[in-house]
Amino acid sequence: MIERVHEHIIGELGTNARTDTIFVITAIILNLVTLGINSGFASSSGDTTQTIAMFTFVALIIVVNFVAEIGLIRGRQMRKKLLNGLLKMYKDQGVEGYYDASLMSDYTIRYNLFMLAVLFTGLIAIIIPFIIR
Amino acid sequence: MKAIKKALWLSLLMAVLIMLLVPSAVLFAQEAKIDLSLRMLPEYFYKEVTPGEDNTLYMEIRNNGDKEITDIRFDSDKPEGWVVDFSPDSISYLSAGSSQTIDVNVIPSLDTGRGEYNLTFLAKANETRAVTSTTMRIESGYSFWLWIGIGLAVLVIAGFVIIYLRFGREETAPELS
Repeated sequence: MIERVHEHIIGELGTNARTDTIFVITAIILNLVTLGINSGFASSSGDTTQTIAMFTFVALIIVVNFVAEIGLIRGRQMRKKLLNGLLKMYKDQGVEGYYDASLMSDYTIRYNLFMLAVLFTGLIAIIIPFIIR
Repeated sequence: MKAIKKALWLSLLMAVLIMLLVPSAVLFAQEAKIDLSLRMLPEYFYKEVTPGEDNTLYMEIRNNGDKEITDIRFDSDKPEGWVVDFSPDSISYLSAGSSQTIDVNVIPSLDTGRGEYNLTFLAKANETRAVTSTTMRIESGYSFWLWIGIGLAVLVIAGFVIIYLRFGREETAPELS
């Protein structure tokens, strides 16, 4: 049974990693695409329709970036819980010495860096079109 | 018979006089053509200007007609808050075929945002009027949109921090021992 639980935790960790990757890549790609679209709007004639479209894309950036941030925070928490369970299991089996517990703080740093990357591409996608305009 | 001959000569003389006088009258009317032109010198179209500073442009006024033009006054149609000065601000007499260069000093108001602005210059004389226009480009002005962008960025940063603190604090320390 313990082996099944172990496989389940490992499977959850894999799913968690894939979900977080999707959050980060989607947010960054959307930020860059929106940066291009809004820069195009900003450098054109600037009528009301284009301004409305530009602000709609800004709203999309804000929503997607916030969703990505919440998703990454939840992903980090989930990973921590799963790793805690895994460590407890290793401890019960007397093999905890093979797994360095400091890996969890490394994951925290990595998640914060992902969030920083998403935040900064989002900020650039918001500000640059307004500078061009 | 003599009277008929006299009348014939008289009518012939009249015909010759009409032939001579009518074309010259037409010619005289053509000579009285009035044509005033106003144009910006080529390098002053689509010129970059700086808000709050003197920006000198040059335009040329030319009398293309055959009659002198008198009392030419200059005026401009400009964006609100801009100052436009002409030097000279009026010309009392511009003879036929002659031209004169006019210095135009444009001072955009300090709060002018970045963008393109059209200015129209008018020359009004007693006999006629002429119009020209140019586009001024401001690159380094105050930008309303820049402040909107900065405001949105600040809101996003604040939102990120709030979400980070709100959702990130539920974590518990790992139980390693």
